[in-house]
Amino acid sequence: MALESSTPASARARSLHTLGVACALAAGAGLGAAEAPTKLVTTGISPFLISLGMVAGVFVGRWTLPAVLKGTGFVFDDLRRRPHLMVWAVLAGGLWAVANTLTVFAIRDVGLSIAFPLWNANSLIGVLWGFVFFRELRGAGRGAWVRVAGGALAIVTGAVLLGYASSQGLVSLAPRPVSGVAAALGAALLWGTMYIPYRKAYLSGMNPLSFVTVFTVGEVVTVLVLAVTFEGGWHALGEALADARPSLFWLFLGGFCWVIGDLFQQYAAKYVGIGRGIPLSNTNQLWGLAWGALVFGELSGSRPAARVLVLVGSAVMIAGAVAIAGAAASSEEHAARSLAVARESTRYGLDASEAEASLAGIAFDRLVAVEADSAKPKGWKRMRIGDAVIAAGALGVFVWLGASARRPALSLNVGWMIVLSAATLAMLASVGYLLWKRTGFA
Amino acid sequence: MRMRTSWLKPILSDSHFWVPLGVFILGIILLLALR
Repeated sequence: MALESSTPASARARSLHTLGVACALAAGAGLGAAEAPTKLVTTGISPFLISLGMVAGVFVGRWTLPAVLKGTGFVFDDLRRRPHLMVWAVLAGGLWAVANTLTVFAIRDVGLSIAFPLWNANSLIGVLWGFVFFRELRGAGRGAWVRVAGGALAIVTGAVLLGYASSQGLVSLAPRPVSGVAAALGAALLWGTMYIPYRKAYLSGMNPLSFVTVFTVGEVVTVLVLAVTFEGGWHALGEALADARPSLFWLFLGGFCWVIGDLFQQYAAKYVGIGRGIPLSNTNQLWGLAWGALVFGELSGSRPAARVLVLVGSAVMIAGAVAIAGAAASSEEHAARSLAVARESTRYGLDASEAEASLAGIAFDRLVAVEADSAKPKGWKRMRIGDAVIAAGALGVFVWLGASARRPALSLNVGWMIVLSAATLAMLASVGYLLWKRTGFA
Repeated sequence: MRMRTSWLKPILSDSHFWVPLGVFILGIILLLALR
């Protein structure tokens, strides 16, 4: 009897683990692809403007995709039922923005090749917070521990090797090594800590699509404040934006791609937790390197040793991802997760069964009822028209920016661009389909 | 059923909250120091 009732549950848990892993890997592809449009932006634009341009694209994307996929009515109902999470989401957005600005300083002071692997250590911070705050890996056997912690370490090691190879072993003379390393490690701490609100939201039964609409408010406000502060006031910022107008389309496009990647990362944080989800989505460095090397020819002329390093670094990173992907949570770990859910539910007056259902990929009853209501002709029409206006507005912004976009004089390998774009789109589409089929974007 | 007239109170008394908030403030201080 017990066996009969537990088998479907464990099969469901395994299926959700696979789904979460697939989401994290798709996130890596999406986040890696987001780096490509920003490479089209030639020099002469301040890093704060690049950040602001991307975040503006992110803002548009974060409001459009949830409206199209679930409808704004669903999102607002979800937020109304868990208002405390809006504070957490804004804080997470602020953390993202400050970390992103720190990376600008890190690149300035020690270069991307040293800075990137350092801030990719955020996955280790994620494992730590997942364990300390959300009981992740509690009750996991030694095998799961070795796979997750070892896998996360392997991914960081792979990142170090890839970063070193990108610089072809020639570390430029860093003007301010201490401040650069401090900025990169600060970014790792902030980006690792940002996942505390993510996980908190999903243990409370919130839908990732609702969370990101508020997250982006914190993100855009913080980036705007930082850009105004560092660019020398509103007037100077406005002038700089006007000068950068021909490049804004590419930054917006990068931001939009980033949103798609990040959405999958949110679902990964929901279905496999942050300890497993973050290291897996950090495989974006592999994709970023593939875009840089194959499409933009960044490794052309590099020494054979650098190419060997790329292969070794990639292999180590893939091995780490495979190790984590194979470490499905045990029933003891699921029991520990239920305790974390109970803590949130008790503290914030939520229904624990709704949160458990949501974590199992099932939309809970009340939202099903809300959706059923919204399916009535009048309500449906009103809601869908509002959503269509948002989608049309986003499209309008892209067309408006696209009309004045200037294609930078940059040589690209079009063949590889098509191959990588097709691979990324295929991955995003197939995992998106899986997510819709198994959970209805719950 | 679920009265949440003050949902800010549970946040402020939630020990989890002070970690990301503290890290955020630390990040701002780091930004100001490195600019």
